[in-house]
This record gives sequence, C-alpha cells and structure tokens, in this order.
Amino acid sequence: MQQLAGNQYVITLDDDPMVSRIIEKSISLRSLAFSTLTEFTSRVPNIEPLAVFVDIHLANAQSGLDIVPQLRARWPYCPIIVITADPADDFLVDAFRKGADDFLLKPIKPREVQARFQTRLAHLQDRAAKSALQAGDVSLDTAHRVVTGPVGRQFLAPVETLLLAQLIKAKGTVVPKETLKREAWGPVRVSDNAFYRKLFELRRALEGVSSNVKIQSVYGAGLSLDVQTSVTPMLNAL
Amino acid sequence: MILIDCTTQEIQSMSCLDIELLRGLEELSPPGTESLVVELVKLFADSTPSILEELRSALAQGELTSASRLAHRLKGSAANIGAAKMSALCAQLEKSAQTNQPEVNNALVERISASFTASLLELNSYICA
Repeated sequence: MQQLAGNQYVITLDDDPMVSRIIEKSISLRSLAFSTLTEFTSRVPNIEPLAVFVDIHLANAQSGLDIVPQLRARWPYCPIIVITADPADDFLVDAFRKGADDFLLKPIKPREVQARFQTRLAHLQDRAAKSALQAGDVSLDTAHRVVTGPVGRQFLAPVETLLLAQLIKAKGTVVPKETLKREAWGPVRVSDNAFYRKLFELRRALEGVSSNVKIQSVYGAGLSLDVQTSVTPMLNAL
Repeated sequence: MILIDCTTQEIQSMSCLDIELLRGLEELSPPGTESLVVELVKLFADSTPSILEELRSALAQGELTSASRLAHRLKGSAANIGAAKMSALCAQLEKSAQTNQPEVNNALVERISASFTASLLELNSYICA
C-alpha cells in the first residue's frame, strides 16, 4: 500500500459505527466518523480529508447523497466513495451524477476498500496534477473551474476558465485579444462587448482570491497576466 | 455475500455466519493486537437491541416507511459483521414492511430477533475458537 503521511485521515459518514472502524483498519488511516449530516456539515469548512466514504441511506430518513455536490465542489480531488447495502440501488446513478467517484457494497470487504481507495486516490491525484495551472500565488483548477489564492476561492464560468488558462500559459507575455477569443469561444464570432464583459467577471474573480495577480490590458496589443511576487518582511527590511 | 432477494427456503438453509467475511476482517488485526472482530461484535451487540425496539415500535404504530428504513439499517450492520442469515431476514422485512401485512412483519421481527441472538452466540464461538 502507498505510504501516506501520519496526519492524513479520511471521513466516514455512516450511522453504523462498524463501517468507520472497518475502513480505518482496511486502509491503515485514521477515519473521522460522523453519523448524521448535520454533524458532518458543520465540520466541513475546517477539514481536508484524503477521501470521504458516504452511506447513501442514513438514519432518520436522511440521504448521504445530499451532501455529495457540496463535497465535490469543496474538495475537487478528494475521492468520494458512496456506500450502500443494495447492489441494484437506483440511488447509485444519482450518486455518480452528483459527483461520487465510486461505491462500496455492504458487507464492507477490507480488500475491496483498499483497492477502490487506492485506485481512486491515484486517479484523482493524477488529474489534479494535469489540470492545475499556477501563476504566482494563484492556482487554477481547469477541471473543476476553480481559481484559488491566498484570500479565497472562486468558481469560474467555462469561458472565464479558458481565458485565464491561456493567460497563465503565456507566462506574462501579451496575448492578442483575437487569440483569446478564439481559444475561449472557438469558431463562434464574439463581440468585443461580450469579450470585455467576461474579462470584467474574470478580473473580479481574481481580485477575490489574490491581490498579486492581475490582468493587464496592453493598448493595441492584447492582454497579459501580471504576477507580483510577494516580498517577505525580512527581505523588505533589507 | 451480496444481499439479494432470498426466498424463505434459501434463508432457512443459510448458515448463520459468513465465515469468509469474518476471516477477511481477522486479517486486519495483526497477532498481538486487539481483534477487530471482537470490537465489531461489541458494537453490533450494543447497537442492535435499541434498533430492534424501534422497529417493533414503528410496526406497532403502522409507521411502515420508518420500519422499512430500520430494517435496511439492520440489514447493513448484520451483513458487516457476517450475520448473513439475520441480514437476509432484514432484507425480507425491508420489502414486506412496505406493504401493510402486520402478521408477516411482526413474525419477521421476531425471527430477526432470534437470529440476532443466534448470531451473537455463533460469533462468540467463532472468537473463542
């Protein structure tokens, strides 16, 4: 099994406490166990698990699927594995639509847990590496259209994602407006108004995540990404 | 064992425990460490009686959806500890509770309860063997 750092953990949301223990032992990682949606939801903003195991049918008529879209948006590269006792569960289709990566059937079998966890983790880590672009302290996840910086995270529209990706790949050089239009909209003809509206939205999203990365307009030439490297207080003093 | 629809005859001829599953769980406890199976049996023994009570109460009050959900919950936990026969009976009740057949449902609860006791005895024998 792949060696993982000691402070990493997974989450298990299941009203049966046995499930969390079996998962924990199967993958040799600590599992934080939650039995209700309310309990889990309140902790989501403060945790960064390596994977989440979610039972579809929880106690009190709650469905674990209700939280899957929220988890997928928050942790784009965290394997979400749903658990069910029914092999023909119609809810499985819904689970995949909502962003789940895989499923486990009860009874939980240790070897199956290991295999699915390892496979999904490796797959998502590979995707994360391929779809991540970096410019200064800002990173763009093109697969999930999320831009993240030191002061926040913003979701982008598809066109905004393509525009920002092009500007990041240009590494500070000026990209002509027509090139950006072609890359973002393809063969569709786009007015300057529509282009600048998207640019305005993108600039606003960038402002929401970092003050060090800005889109600069170069009159008559195009646009470029201006990346300020942050100066540490110690260097400042020198 | 995958939980699919079993006929009453199939359930009667079924072994109480899924030994293969228990062996798989045993592999997770290296020699000299606390047995995971022992820990899971304790959890199962502690949590099941209250769920069975809730189940009886739901049926008595005609809350069939709730009864079906509780049977589903027991089906999963019984399966996880290898109590295969009990799990299959719970699967039957999960379905039959959706139709209003009080006699069938009440009889099934009592069979589940008996199967729970039998499963605990066999699990204890398995642990001590």
